[in-house]
Amino acid sequence: MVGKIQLNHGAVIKSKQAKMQSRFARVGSAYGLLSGMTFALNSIILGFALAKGPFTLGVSAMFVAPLVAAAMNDSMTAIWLLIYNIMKGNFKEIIRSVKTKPGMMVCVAAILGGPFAMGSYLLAIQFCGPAYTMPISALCPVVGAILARIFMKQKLSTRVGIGMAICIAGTVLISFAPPEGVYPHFYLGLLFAFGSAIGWGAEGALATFGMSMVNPDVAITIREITSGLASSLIVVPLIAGMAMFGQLLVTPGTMVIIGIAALAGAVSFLTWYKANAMIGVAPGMALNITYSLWGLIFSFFIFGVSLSASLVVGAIAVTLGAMLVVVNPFELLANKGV
Amino acid sequence: MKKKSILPMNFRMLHFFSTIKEATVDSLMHELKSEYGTERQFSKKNISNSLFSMRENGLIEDSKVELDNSGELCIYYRINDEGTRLLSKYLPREWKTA
Repeated sequence: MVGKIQLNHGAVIKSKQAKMQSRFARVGSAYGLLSGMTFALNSIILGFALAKGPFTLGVSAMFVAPLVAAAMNDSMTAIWLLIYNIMKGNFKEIIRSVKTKPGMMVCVAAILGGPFAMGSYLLAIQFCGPAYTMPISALCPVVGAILARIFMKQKLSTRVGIGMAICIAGTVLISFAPPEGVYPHFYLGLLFAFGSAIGWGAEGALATFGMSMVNPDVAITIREITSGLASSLIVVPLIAGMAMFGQLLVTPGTMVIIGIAALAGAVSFLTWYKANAMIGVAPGMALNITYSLWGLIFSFFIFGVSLSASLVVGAIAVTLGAMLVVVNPFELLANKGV
Repeated sequence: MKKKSILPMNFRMLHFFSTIKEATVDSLMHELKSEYGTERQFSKKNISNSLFSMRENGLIEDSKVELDNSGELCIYYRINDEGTRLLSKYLPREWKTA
């Protein structure tokens, strides 16, 4: 090889390689945590938007409003991601990727994760509030593990079993004592939160097919464009939400709030997929799931929401249990050389 | 003969590894310059990161690591079984012919 020193620099090479690997893992983990924080912000800000016009008009708005908000949130997230990719010169890559099989798989997964899961998620926020919705929806890896067991005949290890048991205990704690007064349809909300966990769990199981071959920035943009289009063009007309969608478009105050929420959402999705690409899907998901705890922290310290002890303990249990389902903590620490 | 579509760059990188024994980021960029050279994504930093990600996700592996003249790491990558399996599953038909 021209210009290459072929001497044996074994020790130097090893140390440089370890440094490079640890930097990559650190940046990937930071992306994973950032994705959790920004997803929590997205949920809380959307909770605020749902309390504003036109979402509060009429009794039927209770069901229609969250789905219209989900459609607008996904569409605006897609616009933010599209702007980011155009600035990075990735537009052609989006078109090329969507024509490949893994790209098409991302589209199918997006229907489960977008209209179905995000719609259920916002219905849950409407009926039981973000603080309760987030930990229940964080059960999605548990659903993913169950689906993998049923459809792919994957064995559930003892670690996954223990993680699930902790999750169930946490869920019981959260559901046991509804908050006083504020949410008359609390249990309906929890049901929708379970729906979102099922949608995201199924999306996770589907999206793993060949995803590692597509640029993560491009993959998440395809996902959000599909999801935004399906929510706005299929779900909203189906639930007779076009009038509210139109009203929302001419309500600048609420549009700005959803635009800010969508920006947090875009950062969250982008950093989540980047983390998946840099440190692997399972550790990426484990860090993303921390959104449930960030949600409690932001709700309490920034927005002054009062939290019951059972909710806090339950949310911590669900988050830790879900992390245990996706990663082996001992392996993770060993890989990072800690 | 049907004209081959342009593949997404990561896809094409993996395909390139299936045609050679091993490659560094520089040799890979040299070979793919005619296809992607005018695009902003075609930077050494971006491609090095993509290679590292593909390695992290188990599609390629290190075959050899050296130091170059300026003391920087020069990593040779090669495709592994998982990369070959995914490629044979998802590569468009027109690209499958040798």
